[in-house]
Amino acid sequence: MTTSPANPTLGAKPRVVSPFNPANAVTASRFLTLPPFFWAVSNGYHQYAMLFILICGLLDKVDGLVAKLFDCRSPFGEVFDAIADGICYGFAMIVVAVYGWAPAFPVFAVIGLGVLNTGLRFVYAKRAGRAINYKSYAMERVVGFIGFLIGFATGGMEVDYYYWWFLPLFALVVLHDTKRMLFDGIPGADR
Amino acid sequence: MKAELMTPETFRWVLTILTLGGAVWALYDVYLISKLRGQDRNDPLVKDKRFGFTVGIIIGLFGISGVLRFHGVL
Repeated sequence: MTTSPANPTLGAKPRVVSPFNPANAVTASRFLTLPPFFWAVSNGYHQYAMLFILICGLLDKVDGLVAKLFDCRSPFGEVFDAIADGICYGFAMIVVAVYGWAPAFPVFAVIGLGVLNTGLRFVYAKRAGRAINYKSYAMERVVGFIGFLIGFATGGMEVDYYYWWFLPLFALVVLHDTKRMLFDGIPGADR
Repeated sequence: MKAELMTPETFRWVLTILTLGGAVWALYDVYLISKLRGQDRNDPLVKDKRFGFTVGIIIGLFGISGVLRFHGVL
C-alpha cells in the first residue's frame, strides 16, 4: 500500500491507495502489446507493428486520465509508469534494432542512457528518504518521442535522420536530470 | 491474415499525420513557456520547466523537419 500525495494538508491523515487500482491496471496492460509487436516485426508486418506500438503509447496517456478519474494517483503509480515506459519502449527499440529496422548504435546508446537515468531515480529516492519520482518535464517529452521513434522505424520514415539526431538531445536531457537528481536540492526535503 | 492494413501510400500519410499531430505539442509548449515569463529564474522548478518546454519545442521542430525530408521538401 502507498499513500497518495494528493492531499498536502499538514496534519491530515494521508489517504491510502492500493497498488491494485484501475490506473495501474491500464499501465500493466501495456505489456500485452509487446508479444504481438514482436510477432509483427519478426514477420515483417510493418503496419501491424506500428499499430501495436501506437496502442502501447495511447495506453500510456490513458493511465494518467484513469488515475485522475478514479482519484488513485500514488507515488508507486508514478514509478510504475516510468518503469513500464522503460520496459515497453526499451523492448521495442531492441526489437527494431535487432531486425535491422533501426540503426543499432543510437538505439543501444539511448537504452544505456535510459537505464542510467532509471538507476539515478532510485538514488534520488534514497536521497529523499521516501518513495518519490523525480519529475522531469524534459524527460517526459523525450520519452514520448521515443514512442514516435519506434513508429518511424516500423514505417521506414527518415529512420537514420531521426535516430542519430535524437541521440545528442537525449544525452543532454539525461545530463541535465543527472545534475538535478544527484546534486541539486530535493523539493520538500526539509519537511 | 491480410498481409497489411492499408496501402503503402496511405501508411505513409498516416505516419505523416501522426507525426504532425505530435508536433502540435510544440505549440502547447510555446504557450507554457510564455506563461513562465516574469517568474523567478532562480527557482529550480521554473528552470526545470523552462528546460523541459524548450526540449518539447525542439522535438516538435525536429519532427516537422523529418516529415519535410520524408516528403522530399528538405
